[in-house]
Amino acid sequence: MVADSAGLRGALAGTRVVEWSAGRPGAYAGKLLRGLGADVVLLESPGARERAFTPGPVPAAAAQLDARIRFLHGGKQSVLFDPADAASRESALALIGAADILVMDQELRDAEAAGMSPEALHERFPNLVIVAITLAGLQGEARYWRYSDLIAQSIGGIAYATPSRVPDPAQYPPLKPGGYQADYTCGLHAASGALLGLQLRRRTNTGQVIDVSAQAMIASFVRMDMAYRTYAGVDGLNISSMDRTAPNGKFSTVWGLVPCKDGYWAFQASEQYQWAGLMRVMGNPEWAAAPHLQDPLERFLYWDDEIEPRVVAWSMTQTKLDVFHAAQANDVPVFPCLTVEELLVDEQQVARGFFVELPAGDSHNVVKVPGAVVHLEKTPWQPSFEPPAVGQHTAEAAARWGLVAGEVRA
Amino acid sequence: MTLPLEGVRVADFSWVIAGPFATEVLALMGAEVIKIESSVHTDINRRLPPGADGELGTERSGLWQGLNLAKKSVTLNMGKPEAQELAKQIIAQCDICIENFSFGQMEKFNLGWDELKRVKPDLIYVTSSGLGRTGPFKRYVTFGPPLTAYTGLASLTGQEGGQPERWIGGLWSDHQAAVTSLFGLLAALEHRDRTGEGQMVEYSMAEAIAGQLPEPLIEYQLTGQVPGPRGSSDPGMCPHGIFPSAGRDRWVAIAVQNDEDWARLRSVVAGPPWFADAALATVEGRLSRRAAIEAAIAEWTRGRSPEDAAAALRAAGISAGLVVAIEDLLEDQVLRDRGFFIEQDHPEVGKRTLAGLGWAMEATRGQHVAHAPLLGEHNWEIFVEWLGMEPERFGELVGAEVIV
Repeated sequence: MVADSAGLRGALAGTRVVEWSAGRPGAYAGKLLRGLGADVVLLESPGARERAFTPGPVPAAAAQLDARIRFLHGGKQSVLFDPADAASRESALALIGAADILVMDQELRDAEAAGMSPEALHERFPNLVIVAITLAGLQGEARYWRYSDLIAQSIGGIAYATPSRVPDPAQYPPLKPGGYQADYTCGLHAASGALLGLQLRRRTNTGQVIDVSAQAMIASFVRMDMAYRTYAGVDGLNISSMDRTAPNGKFSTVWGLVPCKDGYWAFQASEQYQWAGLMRVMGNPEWAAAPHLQDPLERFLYWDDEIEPRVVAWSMTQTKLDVFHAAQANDVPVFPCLTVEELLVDEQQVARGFFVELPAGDSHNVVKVPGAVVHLEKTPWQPSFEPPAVGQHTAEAAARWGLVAGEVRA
Repeated sequence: MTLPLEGVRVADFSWVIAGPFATEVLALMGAEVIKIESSVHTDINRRLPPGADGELGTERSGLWQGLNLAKKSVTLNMGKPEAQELAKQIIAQCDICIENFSFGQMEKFNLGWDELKRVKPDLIYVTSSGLGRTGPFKRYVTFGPPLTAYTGLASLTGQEGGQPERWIGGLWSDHQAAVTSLFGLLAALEHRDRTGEGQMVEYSMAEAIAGQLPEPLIEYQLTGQVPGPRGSSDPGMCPHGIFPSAGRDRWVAIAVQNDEDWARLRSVVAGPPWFADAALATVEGRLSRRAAIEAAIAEWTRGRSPEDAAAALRAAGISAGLVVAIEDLLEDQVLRDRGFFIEQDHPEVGKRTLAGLGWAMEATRGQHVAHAPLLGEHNWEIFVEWLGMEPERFGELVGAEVIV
């Protein structure tokens, strides 16, 4: 049971979680539940971390791997697990049977080969909340499709929708957003799914298989794009010019990424007062008073040819922080386009203490990583960046959960 | 069948996208979500496209309806003290109160956390803003899309070596923030159910987005090199990317995640003779010849449809897939079999298909989903039947433009 330095317990204090993960989605879900104070036991085999988190042959690869493991597995317990070994399976099943939540992102063929599919585990442990993360859900043959961040973004619709307004589609492929957005968002969905499962169990006294599909999750984020098709057809007014190719109909808002002296700044001016504010920041140029630029719904038609060149010409005399603060003083949602280097020293993030130090490991490096993504007043986030050695708790995990060797609580 | 959040009541002051998406999840999971809005200052999304059949109107926006399914709507002119008092009465009957106004707005309505925890001590109060309730920029105004720039995500998204992208699909920031808030409020609900203790849950949209970038942050600090756009490549995998297929603007995504995958890929893609080089058996060797390898893969993908290419690669055990356009998604058989889509039957716009959620479970399968509410549709139900207001008083408050 975990308490923070002030003695406050986490929201999930006393909750037992088994994490059988093969990648970031399961590991991040386990990390999030651990941060709420849950007791998280990781089932893993030697080499699994390297396979899951290896950054490849890049500079400081070993140090990067070490930091990734600290970030994702800190504070968990590790139990050696070999799905091919019957005794190892029984030990794992004993832990799973004693748990409240199982988070798994294993390939379904591997899980089935071990007799540990979500469905089989649900049948054996009907009170258990099982969160199963897959690429495309547990239905049909798609349950066996192999997961990756790139494919999740692709079959879920985000890659095609990124970027928008491509001048020549043949020369400009769809894009995966930077980092590992599908991986982490899947982990977040899985952690929330576990909490929904606990709520359901409270009401029904039974567990449930919570099926987290990366494809469905990503597709749920393009709900506006879908509504454009089912509501307006091809001639509809388009809020954000988000289509990849020939934009549908007219645009209704002015937004974009504008180059300046030291990079770019981003803005959105959906409302008339925001447009007026942006023009004030620019010194109320004469051209902005033209009658055809006064209608917010019509304005975007003139963005490419009339407005953008003038905004850019002015912007190239400004820094991104100048525009940021001046525009915000006029209630215009403008933001600087920051690199991760700049983000680390951004005044707001520093003041809120968002980034926390990942203590030195074998690599003797200290780096800053994201801390709590949400703040709970009475049950604060409980960070931990000390990962267990692989199999460190194999001998003691069962006793910790009050089990005797070989016991299975079904 | 019992739903996960059956019996939970939510007072929903949120608007635009991030808050409404979070509360829509609550509603679809069984909570009774009461959206407190007003005809005096409607949610901007009620007025935004897409309007059904190209016509805009308060009850016609697919954007709004897609974010507000299964909720109830009451209308209160929050500038009036009587409305603030009624809102307080609603909150007193709820488990969760959620808002995402600009900093300080709820306090102006006399509904700040300090006040509400006196009204309902075990309340879960969820408050969010673009940059958080503290810090020097707490009053800064926000929309979701520009936040991808502020949080570093845009600087990492773009064609390899190119400039940052201004648009990340799906209004990423808003939806990501919504799921983050959901996690926090469900944790608080769990704590409340165990202990009876309510609390405030606070989050910043910026932190929700930046929270998912540990790897680029680690990479920069350990190498001194600031990461930029990498296209769809990965520093640890090859081949890994989006490749052109037969047809206009059709693409297939392929992720060879390890050396075993390379052998699997070669069983499907013959490639040029040098694909057999022993040096390519390791990721180091493949990355050193990435451009040539990926050009050869593109030659193969150009000769077939993305569906055929993806199917062949999947059959060999490779992570691959069609890069779907929205039109493809709406026809996607896997999503259909899952029951992902929601068929809304709305009194004004009729039957419309809308997107569902990322979770599926037996408890929610086949559930009937109520249409997104008309503005003020539930005024009588909530004020008269729920709060016990006398009908005569209800009429007076409508006349006085308190309930409006």
